[in-house]
Amino acid sequence: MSDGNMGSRLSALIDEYGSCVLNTAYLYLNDRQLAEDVFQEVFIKAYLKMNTFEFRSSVKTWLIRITINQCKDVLKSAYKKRVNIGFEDIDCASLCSGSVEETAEENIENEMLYRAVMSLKPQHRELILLRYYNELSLDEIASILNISNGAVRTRLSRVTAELKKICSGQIAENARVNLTRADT
Amino acid sequence: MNLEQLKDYIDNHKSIPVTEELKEKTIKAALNSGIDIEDKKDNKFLKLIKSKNINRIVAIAASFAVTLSVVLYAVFFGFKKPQSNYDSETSGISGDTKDVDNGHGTEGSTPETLNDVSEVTPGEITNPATQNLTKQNEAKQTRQTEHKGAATTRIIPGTDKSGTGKFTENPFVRTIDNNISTFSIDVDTASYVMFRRDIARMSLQDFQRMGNFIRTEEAINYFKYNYAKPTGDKPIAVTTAVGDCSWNPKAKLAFITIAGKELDLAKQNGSNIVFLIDVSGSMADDDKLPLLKKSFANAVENLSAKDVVSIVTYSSSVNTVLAGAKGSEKSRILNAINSLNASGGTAGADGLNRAYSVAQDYFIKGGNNRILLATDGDFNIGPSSVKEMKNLVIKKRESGIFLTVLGFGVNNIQSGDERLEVLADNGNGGYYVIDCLEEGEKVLNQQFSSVLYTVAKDVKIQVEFNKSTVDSYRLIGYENRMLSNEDFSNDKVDGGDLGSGQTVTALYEIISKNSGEGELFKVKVRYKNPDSDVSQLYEHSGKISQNLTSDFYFASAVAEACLVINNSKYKGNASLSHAYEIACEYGITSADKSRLEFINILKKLIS
Repeated sequence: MSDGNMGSRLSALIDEYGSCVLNTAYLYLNDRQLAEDVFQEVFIKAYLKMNTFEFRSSVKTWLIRITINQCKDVLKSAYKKRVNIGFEDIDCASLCSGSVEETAEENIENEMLYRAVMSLKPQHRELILLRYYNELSLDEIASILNISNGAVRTRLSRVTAELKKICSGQIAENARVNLTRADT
Repeated sequence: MNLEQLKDYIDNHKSIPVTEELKEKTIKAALNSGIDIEDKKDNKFLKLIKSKNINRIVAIAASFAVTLSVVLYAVFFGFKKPQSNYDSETSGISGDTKDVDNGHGTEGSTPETLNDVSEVTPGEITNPATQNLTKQNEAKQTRQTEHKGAATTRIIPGTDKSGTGKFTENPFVRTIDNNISTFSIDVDTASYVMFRRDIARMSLQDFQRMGNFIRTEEAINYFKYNYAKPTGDKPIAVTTAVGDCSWNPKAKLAFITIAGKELDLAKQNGSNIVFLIDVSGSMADDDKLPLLKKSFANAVENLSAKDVVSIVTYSSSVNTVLAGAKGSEKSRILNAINSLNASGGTAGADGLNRAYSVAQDYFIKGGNNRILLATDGDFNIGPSSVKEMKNLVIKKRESGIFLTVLGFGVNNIQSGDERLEVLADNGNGGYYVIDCLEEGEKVLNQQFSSVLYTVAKDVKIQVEFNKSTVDSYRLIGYENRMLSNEDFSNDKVDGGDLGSGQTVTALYEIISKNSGEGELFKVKVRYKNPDSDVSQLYEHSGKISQNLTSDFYFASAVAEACLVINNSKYKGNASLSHAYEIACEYGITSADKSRLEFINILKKLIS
């Protein structure tokens, strides 16, 4: 197989799934540079395995699996190097802080939800990402995380409950601090 | 807390783009790592070649390489085409949920059982809300009956959306088994538009490897043909022809066409149009709302004082932006459209309800009342809501308000394609995909009257083959439009709708017997006038023709090209270069830009 042919196949793959892979990594690691590194690793791996892909799962699920595993590797080595990935610093206070006022009215709730999701531990956040960002089925999530369908369901409901708590905490916090918008 | 809106919000406010730089860096790195692997093999080769028995080594290496590539090729193409999960909640148009797939020539593949982590195509719907339904329908679709002499059983229209999922083909049917073939017409353009878009940015091989295919009937019907128009007060005219089949010397090609009456817009009572526009966050992309605004300027040009125009938008909430404006108030309408902004969630069902309510407010009795839904299909709602929407659309069409769907930016199959098609099918309208300004111009300007006005609805075709002159036949395309022979005269069963001035072409590959002289088949067409619920019958017979028009040859070139594109098992001697040759001969002098564009696509594919 000539390079040109492989190259254009990889290019088509990136056109179709690049954004999904990049942003899944970005949401997981909350770091643009790291996300881009993961992006490269994922597609290089995909390139090397393209010919042996057996279509037992969808291309998208396959790529996301590689992405999630790559992100986990990054975290492991970052932890070992004691590098601060950053998201662990997010706490409730910052969820309610400043720039929420600048957000358009209809986006305030979405912004709060987003920050709540980003404040979750990676193992919890990944469930939300896989389910609501990547829109994967329970079976697909189970195969990516190597757990049973039932375990996915359980964990997902726990995480959703956790999110609800965080969000209602935010609302209470907002009310208490009495944030107002600059121009209403 | 609304998790359903999370994705939209992230896409619009938090996501980072894949820059060209990143993409190129990655491809370069990948190619380099690939070469490393090759290099190791090459080094061994190099050492061998440097040795004295160079000729013998080269011969051995060459045959090894050939064998290896043949094996890899066979292994790759030997894999069954990926199958997909569908939201097959889009069940029978008449509410019939009997959806046994009778195995119309599936490419040697059997559907997965429930327990497999199914093979799915890259673009399958993975909306969590629809997941259970797709599993259930997979189970239904595992029942397959024999090909041979299979009676044409109903495949639910809308389950296989253009270019995605399971590729099925109608098989050859012997007249001794079943000499009657029934199907409903299809004037949707989505499959051809999406193919055209894909093929501009990837090779045919990549297109095929990703499990894509083109719906032959949608490709053929994308083009304009000069068929004999209906006379008098009949809304349709049928013509037939039979000629040689260029990819199968043993067969003939039967050509059945329907031409819809071209309405004189000036003589109509005017239309009551509601533009129902999706302005959710996902519509912000360049090829969606911005393109829509430019395209709609075309539509507005074609309106007059007789027409009544309203605009309803939906995102997280529903908004009536304009109500009851006269078609002649062009700047008022255009200003309203240009002021739209995309943000928020997608309350599709609410939007539809409001649009129907506004349409009711301005209902023109005996006139044309229609909703033009413009969306990227991202409804963000579960299957029960789709069912509700479908039922609403059916109920409203019965009271005289029809629905046409315009898809903008439906590149990503996950955006709900087949749901859009189902809404249009049930709303007595077509489903048109607009992917660029030219397409917008074509659909909303040149062909606007076809989009707005239906001249014949629920159009079904039944072909009865003469058992003494025809041995077997194969319908090319229309796989997801097949009907049972009983459905033909059942007025409750829905069929496709023909817009003003539209044409429909169907091709059968026929193997004749006993010299094949004389009548080969009879064609019956059932249709309803737009304001009636009772169907009319039209009959016509077909035999071998002496005079074949350039339309026949062009259509057969399109069919031939599709056989190759789909790597059909019935392609015989079909070739893209032959299709190109014929398309050139019968298309290059036509003023029709679409034909020229098709010819250029073929040219690119064979170069």
